[in-house]
Amino acid sequence: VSARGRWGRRTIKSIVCAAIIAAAAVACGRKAYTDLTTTANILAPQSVADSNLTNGAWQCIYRSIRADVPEGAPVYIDIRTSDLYFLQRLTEMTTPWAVPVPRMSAARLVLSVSRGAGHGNCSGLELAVRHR
Amino acid sequence: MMQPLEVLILGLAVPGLLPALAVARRSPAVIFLAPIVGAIMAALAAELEVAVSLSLLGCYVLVAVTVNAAVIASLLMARRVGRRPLVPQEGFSLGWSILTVLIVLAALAFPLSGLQAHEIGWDADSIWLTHSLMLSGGHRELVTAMTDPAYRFANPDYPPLVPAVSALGFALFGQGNLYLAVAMTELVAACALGLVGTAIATVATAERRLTRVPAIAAGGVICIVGFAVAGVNGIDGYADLPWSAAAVAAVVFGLVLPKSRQYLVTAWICAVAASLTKNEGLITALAVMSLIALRYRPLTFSRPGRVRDGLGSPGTAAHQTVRAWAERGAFIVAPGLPCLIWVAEVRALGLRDAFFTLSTSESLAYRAGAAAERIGSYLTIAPVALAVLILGCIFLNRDRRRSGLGNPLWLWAACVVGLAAIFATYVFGSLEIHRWLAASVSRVTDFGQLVLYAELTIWFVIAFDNIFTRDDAPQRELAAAAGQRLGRRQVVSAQSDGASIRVPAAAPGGTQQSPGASMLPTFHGDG
Repeated sequence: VSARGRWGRRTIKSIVCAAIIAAAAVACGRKAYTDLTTTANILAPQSVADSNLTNGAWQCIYRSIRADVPEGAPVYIDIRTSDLYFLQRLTEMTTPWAVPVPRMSAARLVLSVSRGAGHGNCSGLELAVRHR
Repeated sequence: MMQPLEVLILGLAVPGLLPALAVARRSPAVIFLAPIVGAIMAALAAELEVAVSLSLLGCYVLVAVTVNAAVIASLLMARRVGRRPLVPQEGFSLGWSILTVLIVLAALAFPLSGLQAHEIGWDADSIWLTHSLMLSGGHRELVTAMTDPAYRFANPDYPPLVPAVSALGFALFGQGNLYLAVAMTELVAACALGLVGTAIATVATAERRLTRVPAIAAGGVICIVGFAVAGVNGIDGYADLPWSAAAVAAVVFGLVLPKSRQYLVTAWICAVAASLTKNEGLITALAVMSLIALRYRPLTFSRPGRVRDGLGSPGTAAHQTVRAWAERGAFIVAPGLPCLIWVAEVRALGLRDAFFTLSTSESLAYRAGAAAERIGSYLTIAPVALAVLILGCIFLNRDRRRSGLGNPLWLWAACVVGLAAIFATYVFGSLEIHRWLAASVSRVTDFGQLVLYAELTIWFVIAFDNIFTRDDAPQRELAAAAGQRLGRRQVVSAQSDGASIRVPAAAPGGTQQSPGASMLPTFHGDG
């Protein structure tokens, strides 16, 4: 291969390399930038305050269950007064302290959580424990 | 933020340090590998907790002591027979290792700052935190809860790595702060991404400082990109980023970096972590392990001429074929064992995957169309990655092979197989397809997206390497020629032993291998 041919091949290869570098840099750079905006949104003061309020409320429910429900007691999570979110979270918070059961007839206690102004001894949430 | 870091360092990294050092030695990967090894040991402890009447902490101490004792024993045995258990990585001076670790840690720090917001996602609560609390209760409570129909919403069959790590945190610090579980999940994800970053930083040629710097920068960028791909789910306790990042680390170490025992074992560890994190991770990890087996034990087609010429007999050929397939099988089964044990345990408890238990009125074609459309919408990077792949294969293939890097089609194969598994789950699953896709497709495509971004960064480093390489660079040519001479000699000797082995073109490191290391030889350049 002549010197000119080698030079031409080398030039084409350098252009391709530059194109690959540019494509990779732009694609990865753009994606990385989205993380900056996502993180900034998550760390917005209102977002942080909301998360802390919710977490604090559920941590309080967690403590209330351990205070009001005997250890190992079979409990039924009342679906009528709790929506799906509350049902799952309440089941989670009873673990492994009490034993959630799928039927009310097998339970010793019935648990439910409600929210709203007025009852909130847990930052707007209140745990209700009823004996069957 | 201090408690999760203490659990990560004292609870996971310290017990995992010796096994990580035995595998990765002075490579920067060791910093991120140690907590991952610790997390795997925590998952094994959870498997043990299901089987025997012990607390998670008790099981963890037992597993950690056993694993460390086994590593010490293997190191002592290796010293007695006069060989190093793993080929040390070439070209990584302490200075470069420290710089790589610092850059990768700095890149991970910004996305992880989002943990200060204390966001907890739906699945993080209903699945992962619930599992963590189950594991915290001890053997009896754990088994009772796993089989309790009231917990069906929490998918009790999901693998135990993430909840085990969180439960370990609860065992050390109590349950006064439930957010600890979320923070632990994301720190494990960060460690897995750190492994991807250090692997990509290793792609650069050892002797060229100018390419080392962009390679390390690319390693840092891929960590941020990993969190960007996951979005909010990257910091709110979902387990999709941990398994995806671990699986991508397995792909880069096992299918991209030059063939060596060190990278092979690191890839296996990453694949084990992925398989123990989520069911999708399990399927993807098994696929990645199969591809690694095929790369390290390639399919060979016997030539009839060899038998006719007296170079082999039908009996020995059959024996070699059986042995090769046995080795390939061992490459999958050995690292797949921890996740297979979990599968056996959940089956023994009578648990089944909730996604396939109901019947659906939607046709397969309808589900396939919806799934393909939604999965495709998250793979917008694929055309760019494909264009770069084609350009790279046409113009930079020689450079890639000279660096001993694997064929990029391995990486694409891993991506396609991983996505195919996700696609098949949607098609053959039983949940209402649109609601299911809306709830999960953005997360389960993390692996596919991250693999494609990893491919871009790898070609970025190869292209940089090429720009700063002169074709007539005397040192490099000399080294390559010496390596090739060495390689030809070893190919002949290895083939006479019945194995298809090729030796590094640019690294005379193959000479460091003892004959006893033939089960896991050092390979380079798989075309």
